[in-house]
Formats: sequence, structure tokens, C-alpha cells
Amino acid sequence: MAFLRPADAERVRKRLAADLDGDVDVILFTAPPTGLFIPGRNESTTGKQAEALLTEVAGLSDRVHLRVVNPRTEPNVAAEYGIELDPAVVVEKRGSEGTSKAEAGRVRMYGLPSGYEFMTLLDAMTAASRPTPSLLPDTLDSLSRMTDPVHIQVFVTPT
Amino acid sequence: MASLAHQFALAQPLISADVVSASEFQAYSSRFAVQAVPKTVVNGRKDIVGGMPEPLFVAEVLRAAGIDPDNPT
Repeated sequence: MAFLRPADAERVRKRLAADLDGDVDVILFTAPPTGLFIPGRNESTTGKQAEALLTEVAGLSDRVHLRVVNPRTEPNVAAEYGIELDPAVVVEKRGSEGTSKAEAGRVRMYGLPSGYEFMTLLDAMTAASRPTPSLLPDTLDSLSRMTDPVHIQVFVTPT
Repeated sequence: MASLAHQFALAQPLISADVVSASEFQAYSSRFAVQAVPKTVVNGRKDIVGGMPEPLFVAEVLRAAGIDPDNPT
């Protein structure tokens, strides 16, 4: 079943064609369900849906490259990206894989990027594809003063 | 706040920005006392509930990093 209605898919295709300045990698971290109950471990309930949705989105633009990582079989990759929850989506500029820490911080989304968070995903892809951030000059000055790592978590609820 | 946090991370390699679905990860969210959304937590401590304009948000991020936003050096 398609997530996006044909009219919505067309809107997303047009938006990606207009907004993406370069190629982006979208990396989905999700482990397939085992069906086993293991105390202390929660199986992802939306990982498969997230994969289906992101596959649709990647099919709408040649500039969007989807990679699916199973954190159970590739824990080193999940650790490199600082993944804590399943499903997780990382967005980064194409080619920055493995070196993106030097060029940009981590951009992650935890959970199915549906509802309003679908727009957040498209915004992240747009921002990652651009050579310069769309932030106020004063904001860029302020951010350049930082010397220590900062972790920002924005808790949202899909609508 | 979500897209702004992501843009901060893209502009500054020292920043990691997560957008967390509070309804999907209720146990994780409860560790950060999330009762209303959007709620932003910086370095596990500083809480911001609701939206905030870009200049105020970046000032909060600087404070969390131990930098006085009002005293440029």
C-alpha cells in the first residue's frame, strides 16, 4: 500500500525537484521484528512503515539515496551515528558519510516521519542538500562561538 | 523547533539534533519529563516548552554550552 496519495506524491516530487540543490543520503536504522519478547528490548512497530514511506520518497527524486541499516547486524554503523531508538532516520549531504562529523553535526529523527514530521523530514533533506544554511547571520555567528558538543532533542507528536 | 534544530546541526558540527516522536517512544520521553509538545531539551538539562524564535533558541543553545550569548568575545 502506498503511503502517499498520487496527488501528494506529485507535490513531494515537485518540491524535491525545486528545493534539492544536491544529493542527500537518507539512512534508516531499523531491525526487522523477531516476534520474540526479550525483557528490556522493545521491537520497532513502525520500522517497516518507515522503510516503505522512505522508499516511496526516494523514488520521487534521483537526488535522494536511501540506505537501510539493521542496527542488530551492523551495530558499529548505528554507534557511529549515535542511534538510540528504532526506527531512526539520519539525513546528510551525499558523500559526507563517515566524514560528516567534520562538516556537519548529526541530523536524526526517531519514529515514523509521518504527519507534520514528514515536512520536517523534507526540510532536513532540503537543508542538507544546500551549500549554506538558511539561518540568520547572527545565528551563524553565535553557533561559530561553540567549542563543546551540544545535543538538542526536540520531542514532538505526529499529528 | 524541529527544523531549526536540524539546521543548527548542519551549520555547526558540534551539534547533534534529534527529533523524537514522543507518542512512539513514551518510555524514552518520560525520562525527559515530556508532558507537552513540542518540548526541547538541550544537553539533557535545559528545557524549552513550546516554540521559540531563532535568535532566542540559539541563545538558549549557547547558554547550555556554557557560553554567555550576551557577551560576544
